[in-house]
Amino acid sequence: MKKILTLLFLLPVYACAANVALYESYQNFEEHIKDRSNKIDGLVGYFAKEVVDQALSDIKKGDAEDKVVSNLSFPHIMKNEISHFEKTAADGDVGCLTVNGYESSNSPVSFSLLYTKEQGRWLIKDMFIAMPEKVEDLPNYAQCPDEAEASF
Amino acid sequence: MELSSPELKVAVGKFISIAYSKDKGLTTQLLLSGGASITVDEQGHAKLSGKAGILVFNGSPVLENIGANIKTINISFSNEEDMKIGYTLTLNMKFGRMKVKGDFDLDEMITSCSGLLCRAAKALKFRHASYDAELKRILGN
Repeated sequence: MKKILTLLFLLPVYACAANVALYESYQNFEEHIKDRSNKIDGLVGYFAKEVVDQALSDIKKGDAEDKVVSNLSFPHIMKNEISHFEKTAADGDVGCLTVNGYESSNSPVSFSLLYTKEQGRWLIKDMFIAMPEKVEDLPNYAQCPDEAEASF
Repeated sequence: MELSSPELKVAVGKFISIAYSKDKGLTTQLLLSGGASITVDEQGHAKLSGKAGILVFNGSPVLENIGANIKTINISFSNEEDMKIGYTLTLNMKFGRMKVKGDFDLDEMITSCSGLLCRAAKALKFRHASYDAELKRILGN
C-alpha cells in the first residue's frame, strides 16, 4: 500500500517535469545563471550531451573556463525581454524557442534555440543570436537556429 | 567586453581601421567594389578580400577585446549607395552563432581615419575612450 501511495504521489511530478514547456525550461536556466559562478559544472544540466562534451573538451584543450561558461550563459546578453514563441516537433522530442528583447544598449536582440528532450528534460542543443537594426525585424514566430540564421 | 551591438559594431570599425592603416588604396577599393569580406580566425589572422585583391593583417588586438569564445569572425560588406557600406558581422562561437547588421559612410570613416582612428589603429591601442566613441558615432548605436 505504501508503495502504491508513493507511486501515485510521484506520477504527477514526473508528468509535470516531462511536460515543462521550452520557455519554462529557458526561464529556469536564466534564473540559474544569475549568480554567474563561472564554473562549467553548474551548466551541465541545461545543455545537450554533445554541447557539454564539446565545452569540456575545449577547456581541456586550454580554453579559459570563464570564456566557455560566458558563451553558454548567453541569456545575460538580454536585459529586457519583450516576447517569446515556441514550437515542438510531432514526436515531442525536439523543439525550438525564440526569445526577443533588448540588450544593454537597448538594441534589439533575438535568441533562437534548438532544444532536445533527453531523459524527460529539455536541453539546449544549438543557438543563433540575431541583432537586427530595428525592433520590427525581430521574428514574431518560433524559429530554429538555422531558420533564423537563413532569414536574417 | 560585453557582447552588445554597439561594441560589436566598434569591432567592425577597428578591423577596417587596421586594414586601412596598412593599405589605404586597396582597403577603399575593396570596400567600394561590393562583395568584399573580412575573415578572422581564432589566432587573429585577418584577411580582407574581394574582387580588387586580398589584404592580410593582424586582427588579434580586436579579437582580444571582444573576449567571447570565438572560432571565426566573418564580416561581409555590400556597397549600398555612393559611399554607404552595409555589413553583416557573424561571430562563429564555440557554441552557437551571432549576427549583427549595420552600415556606415566610408567617406566619414576615411576622414576620421586620417586622424584619431588611424593613429590609434597604427599604435594598436584600442583603449582610448574617445576612439571608441568616434567609432560608435560613425557605425551607429
